[in-house]
Amino acid sequence: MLGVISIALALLIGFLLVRAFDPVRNLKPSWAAILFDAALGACVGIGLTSIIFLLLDVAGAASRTAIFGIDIALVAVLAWQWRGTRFGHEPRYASDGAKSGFRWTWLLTVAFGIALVTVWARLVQTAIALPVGDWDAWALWNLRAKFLAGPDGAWRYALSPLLTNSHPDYPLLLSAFVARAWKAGGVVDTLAPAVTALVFFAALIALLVSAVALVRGAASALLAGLVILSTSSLLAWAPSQYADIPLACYYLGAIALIILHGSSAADGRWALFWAGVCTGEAAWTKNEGNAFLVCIFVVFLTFALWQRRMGTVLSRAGWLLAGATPGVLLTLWLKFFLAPASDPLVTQGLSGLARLHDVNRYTQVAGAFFNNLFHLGSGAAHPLILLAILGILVRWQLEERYKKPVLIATAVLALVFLSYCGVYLMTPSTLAWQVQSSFDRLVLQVWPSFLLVFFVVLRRVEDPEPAGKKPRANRLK
Amino acid sequence: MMMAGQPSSGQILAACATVTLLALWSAANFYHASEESPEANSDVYKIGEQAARFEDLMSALPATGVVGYVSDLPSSQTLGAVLYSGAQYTLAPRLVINLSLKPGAEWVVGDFSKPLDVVQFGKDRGLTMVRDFGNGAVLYRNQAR
Repeated sequence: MLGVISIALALLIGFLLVRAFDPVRNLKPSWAAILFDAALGACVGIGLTSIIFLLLDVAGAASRTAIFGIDIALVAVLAWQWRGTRFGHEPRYASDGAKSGFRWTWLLTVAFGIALVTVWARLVQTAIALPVGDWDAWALWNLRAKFLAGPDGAWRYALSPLLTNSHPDYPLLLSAFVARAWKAGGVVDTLAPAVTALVFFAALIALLVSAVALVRGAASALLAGLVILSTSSLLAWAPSQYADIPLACYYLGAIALIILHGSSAADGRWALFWAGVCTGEAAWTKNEGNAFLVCIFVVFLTFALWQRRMGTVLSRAGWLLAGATPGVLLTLWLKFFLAPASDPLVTQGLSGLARLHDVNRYTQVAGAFFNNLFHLGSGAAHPLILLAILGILVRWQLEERYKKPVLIATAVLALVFLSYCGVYLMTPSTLAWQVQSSFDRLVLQVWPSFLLVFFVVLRRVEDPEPAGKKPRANRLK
Repeated sequence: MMMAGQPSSGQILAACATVTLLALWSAANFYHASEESPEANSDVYKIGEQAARFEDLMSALPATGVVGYVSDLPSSQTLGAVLYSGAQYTLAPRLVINLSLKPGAEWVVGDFSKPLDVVQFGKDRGLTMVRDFGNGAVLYRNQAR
């Protein structure tokens, strides 16, 4: 029970922290802004408390008292800070998500609610039926969590080069968070990792729905929610306790904040700061997060050079970097000092480049990609079919202010995905086994972010304006 | 602003209705499909059973430290890998490592998939049996230490 309370406190800390430096302050609709902060806060809070726990553990100071002491102190300080900032700004009326006028929104809400409850009920049942999670959950992430939650000094085993079958060089965000809950609860149970997995899934859905609502209104947001709930491969992995859905959350958080940064009503500095936090935490969640981190900064700087507005963009990149710093520093510490890379992909050096000449590997990777796209859903309710229906009937409308953020987001996602393909092309492991055992999860890592970009580019779902009526102007105070 | 022609209200309504119905069908399908294939949601690697199998052995081991591991199945085989990884997870926070990788470990866990002469199996590897906990779980002490 205390373990679950420690998880709840981590979520509360994240929520209060995000509310105190709110990236979507004044954006409408209000429910979406609060939901966005709660979902982003869940991701940020899990990351932050996981980092604090790891540092306590390494310092030999991790105990139930220390965990709850720090949690309560953080909640008190952040609640005080939030109280101070809450009334400090006059409300503005951003038109982004607020002007949705669609007479059937209530019906979409009912449908989304039914789909969510149906899916959630089955996910909870699955989590109960499979309390230890799937292979990587117990053989990798929760194994390392047990070391981190162990007696003094046992944390070193999580990074032992003797763990040849458990990737000791993998980042520790998820393991450290589960270990924190176990240490706080005083018992190693199956509840903490299962709850953590479901929290990340809920945060993922909430992030997508709220971000689309802030940019495109409630009706588009509910459709986005219905499409992601139709992604059956995502639902299948949700209770597995793998790190791919947490990673998808951090990707989506960063991409959503970069897009929201384009909205004139969002607090640009904090939007970029939290995007940086998500990027850093992605790197601290899985190795693929490092590719995401590099791609975001490369794309940002490329845009700066392209637009020749180095000063402005460098200042923006500064906010991004400030947010990413904790995750980046921990990743560097892990990779260069604690557990130098032992993965054959890295240790093979330049010999992997020779595999780039093998045309068969390209065919195999492309085949696996299309196969996994096909298996994202099933039958007529396949999410790609749903997107095609929306694209054909609702059509496209990309507002000028979202053009650049959407370009950046698309470039980042494309580069990340290409880097994944590059890894497959160069891996010294058996390619067939590698793509069979991981490609579906790699597709899912970027899928929610892709959905967000799709719904930003899709025309707002609303009742058509009567002919001759001028569109409402944005009212910004 | 990048724009395509504005859709009619009928087109928007048709899109919403189709997506909604298909998504609801997908959710119901997910609910029933996972109900009909319980093996997909069960502990196929029997990790839960490992905890029960090693329960008594665990109490005989120190709370932490490096523990050796021997088995009748090589970890290069699928079942051997399942047993090895399962034992590592179950016995953590002790670091369970194949004896060939860490020959100096004082305590060694024997994890067997079938009945065999566990005393002789240990002797062949310089190990003295401390106790056979049954169900393939054996505790050895390393003589070569």
